[in-house]
Amino acid sequence: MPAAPVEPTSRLRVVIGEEELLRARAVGAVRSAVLGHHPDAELHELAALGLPIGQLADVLAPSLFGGHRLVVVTGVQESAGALADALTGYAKDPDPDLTLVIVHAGGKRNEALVKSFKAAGAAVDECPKVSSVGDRIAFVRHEVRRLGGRITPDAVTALVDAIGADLRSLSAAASQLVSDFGGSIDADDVARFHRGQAEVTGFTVAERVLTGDRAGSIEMLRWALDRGVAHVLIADAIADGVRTAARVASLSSSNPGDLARTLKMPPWKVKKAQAQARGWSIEGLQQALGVAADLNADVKGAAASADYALERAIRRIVTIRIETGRGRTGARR
Amino acid sequence: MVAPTEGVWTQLVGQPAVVADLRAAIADPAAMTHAWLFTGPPGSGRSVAARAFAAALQCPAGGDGTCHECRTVLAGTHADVHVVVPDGLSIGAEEARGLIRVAGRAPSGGRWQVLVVEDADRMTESASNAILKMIEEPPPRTVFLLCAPSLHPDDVPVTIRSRCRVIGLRTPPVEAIADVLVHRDGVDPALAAWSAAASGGHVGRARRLARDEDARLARKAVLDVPLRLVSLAACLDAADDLVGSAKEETEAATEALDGSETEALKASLGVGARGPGVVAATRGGAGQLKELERRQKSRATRIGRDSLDRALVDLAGLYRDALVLDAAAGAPPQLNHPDRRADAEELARRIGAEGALRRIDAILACRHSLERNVKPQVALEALTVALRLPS
Repeated sequence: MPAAPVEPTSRLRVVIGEEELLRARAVGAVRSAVLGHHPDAELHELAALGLPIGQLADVLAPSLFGGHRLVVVTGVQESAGALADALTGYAKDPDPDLTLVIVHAGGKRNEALVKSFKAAGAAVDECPKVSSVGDRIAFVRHEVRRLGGRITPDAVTALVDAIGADLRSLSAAASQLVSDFGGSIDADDVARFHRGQAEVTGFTVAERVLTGDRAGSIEMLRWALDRGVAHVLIADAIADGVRTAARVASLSSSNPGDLARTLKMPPWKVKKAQAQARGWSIEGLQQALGVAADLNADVKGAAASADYALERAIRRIVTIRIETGRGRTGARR
Repeated sequence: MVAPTEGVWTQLVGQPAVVADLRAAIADPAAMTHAWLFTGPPGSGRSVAARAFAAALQCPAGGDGTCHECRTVLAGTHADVHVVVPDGLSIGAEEARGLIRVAGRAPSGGRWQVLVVEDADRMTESASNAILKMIEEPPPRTVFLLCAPSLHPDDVPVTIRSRCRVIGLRTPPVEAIADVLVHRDGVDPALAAWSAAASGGHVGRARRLARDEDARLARKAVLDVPLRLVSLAACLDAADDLVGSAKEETEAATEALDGSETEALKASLGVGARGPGVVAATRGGAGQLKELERRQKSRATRIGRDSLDRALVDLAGLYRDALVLDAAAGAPPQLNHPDRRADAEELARRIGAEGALRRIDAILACRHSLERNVKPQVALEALTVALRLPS
């Protein structure tokens, strides 16, 4: 996601969004564009927090020697009221020889300042949070392409799994991989340097447990514990998964829309639960509910070791699924 | 000296032996001691006994129930009677240390400095340890009255028990409860007899059943559960209903209380005030508000848990009825829920004595796990599934 190309006429710019790396890149793009037009431009970068108005007025005032200036004010969401007023005042009558960039980290604070800049015709660089896994994959793909490399789809997934949500780390890993492997990256290349699960929650564990993946669920559990996910959260996710599967399996209807209405759950959750309930028998789900309740007590202090209690409960649930499951007779044949 | 059926003693329903012991202690200084522990099943009147005893101690006439001392003690406003009623989950060490300070004072006007701890079983271990020394040897005119459901070490640490004289209350007989409902609360005799029989010997519950239509409906909803449990879907629905009604009860009880408490604290901290010096004055207020929030949350948890516990006890009663009907169908002893005899017989027919016993065990296990902070939803679902009727 590159910053919008700098329009030479725009002397006011707003960089706004939660993603720190993208903000820094947008500012960098403006800086290099300005330097491209005016190689001898003066550069000022000021943090808005605790910035005296006098200092701002100083850099905004016309220079004695002429020439172009670039002023970047970072973190304007934290600026004091008087400073915000000064910036708003300047935006009404901008200096043609000066490019002013305000950097806002997103959110509601000092929103009025951003609005007044937009009203004054400022160019806006949006840097929204990259939250979904799909967006992260797209980001890595774009990073690699930008650096002149290629990456296979399974390699992207492995990299995002191993590194997680931090864009800076993703970007650094992508550029390192491109320079190491000369442009073409596959899953083996990624596996040489990056392994594991950066982002694992209770729900990841619960998903594996319900689909009866014994090795996978234990692996995810170990990762989750290693990453410091609270025992209670994992236990709750497992209980929630078992309950939702039981809910879905116990009703005769299989229409996701109907179920969503009856169970007051979002349709995507119903669909997921339907997939997870496959292979479970009613008897098995009943037993699993009991195990989930015992586990809930265990992680809240009844068991001497919550780690062990989780692992044992997971093994028990998977065993119950295998012993009572619907696919049992088919598997034996 | 006031007769055993007069004055403050009328409050104690069906406990003649206890009244005799307490009256003896009032009459004869040699029979008095510095720490008393009232035990008995819920609803038998532990705290009522403690308050009546406190009134009788303060009253010059030994508890006539009409003088200033008696009336102020029973109303909870007597200066020398300090009552601790935990509305949260536990009594902590901090609160216990406060008690020690009160216990150290001489009585200001009355004859005794009385400290009543209702639900002493909710004292944490450190709280119990903090007041051990004080209970062992309080100042000469100080007396401790503790209430707990039983002498089991889970309820009362042995170290506390050994320092107290124990007064055991029994489950009051049905006739005595009905009698009290008729005479004291003016309930219609037929309704009084019904609610006394349905209350399982719990005086307060009997009164609530007799006077509150909602309580009767709630009880009916709970007792309807066992025969509903024919499929997994029905089990999960029943668990949802039980948890939902507990939640409703909690919300109804806390909503009004929480709002006004928070407003009162904010007003006393000066939140929202204007003028010079306000910022300095309100500093540290956030901590107090947070502390209040914590207490309110603890109280809400307690109310919800009590409500669920009541439902579980009713349920266990019905399975117990099924058990005794199965074992002695010819001449069954008194039932917990005489009005639901048909249901109990149906249950007995379908699950038999063994099934009933297993289900009672499951209910007790569920109560135990609720005590250990298991999520109510999870615990109740596991329970209703265990209670499911065989197809």
